[in-house]
Amino acid sequence: MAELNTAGQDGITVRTRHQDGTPVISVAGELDLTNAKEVRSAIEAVVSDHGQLIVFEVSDLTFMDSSGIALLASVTRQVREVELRDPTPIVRRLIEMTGLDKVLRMTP
Amino acid sequence: MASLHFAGRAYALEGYTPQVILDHLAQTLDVAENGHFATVLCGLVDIAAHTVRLANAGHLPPVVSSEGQSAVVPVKPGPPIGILDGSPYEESMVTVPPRGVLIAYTDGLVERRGEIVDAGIKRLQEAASHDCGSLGELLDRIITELTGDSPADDIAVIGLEWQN
Repeated sequence: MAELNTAGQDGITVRTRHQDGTPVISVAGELDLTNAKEVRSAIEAVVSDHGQLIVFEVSDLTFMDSSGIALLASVTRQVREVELRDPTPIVRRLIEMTGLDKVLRMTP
Repeated sequence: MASLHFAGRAYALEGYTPQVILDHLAQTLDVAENGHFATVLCGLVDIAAHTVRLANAGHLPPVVSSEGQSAVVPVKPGPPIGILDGSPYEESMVTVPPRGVLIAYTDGLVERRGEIVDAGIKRLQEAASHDCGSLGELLDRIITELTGDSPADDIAVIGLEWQN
């Protein structure tokens, strides 16, 4: 199971659960260059295990830089469908402006 | 990344349009293979006509500044290169007036924690609206005003100025 906690100002928390067989990965905090690699390793097993749908729950993801975009981009290539649930306006706008909204689904 | 750079140059030398260049580049890179992807803003400049024909793979939009006014260039982003979405990129045309400047930049220039990216682009527009003498001075001013002395990310800024 993907679990990650990092302390400090740029801390990030990653938790995975399953909802009706679909992996739901909650990512909270700030996702950037300093922790993108750790997040990547934390979710790797879940992602490579699952070819269909993966949900990222990001209501508490308060910041993301291009490292986060890179991470999401690579996941969209590994599974059939990626859903981003409850993105904050900051994350939503970044996804739109980088064209990633063409390859993943944001809900609502 | 160097291979992407040289491939882009080669396609440009072949005379392809920005849209076709991005469509081709999209076939050369797959983020699933080695984790590499790139946002690319590709422009074909017509110096005499004062126009730039643009296609955009996930890059933040350029800004045009002229006579104390600046505006974001509406250029629809397709996904970054490396995602292999398969759908073609779109093109748009921007006209830069005499003594106007087109400014393109990487995300580190405008991104700040806790705020929507539009707020940073707005700051860029304000900084770009000042009449600064030379293009070099304008770019220096933009970088200083937006990042202070300690940029959090590496930053690239390109300015294209029409002197008449």
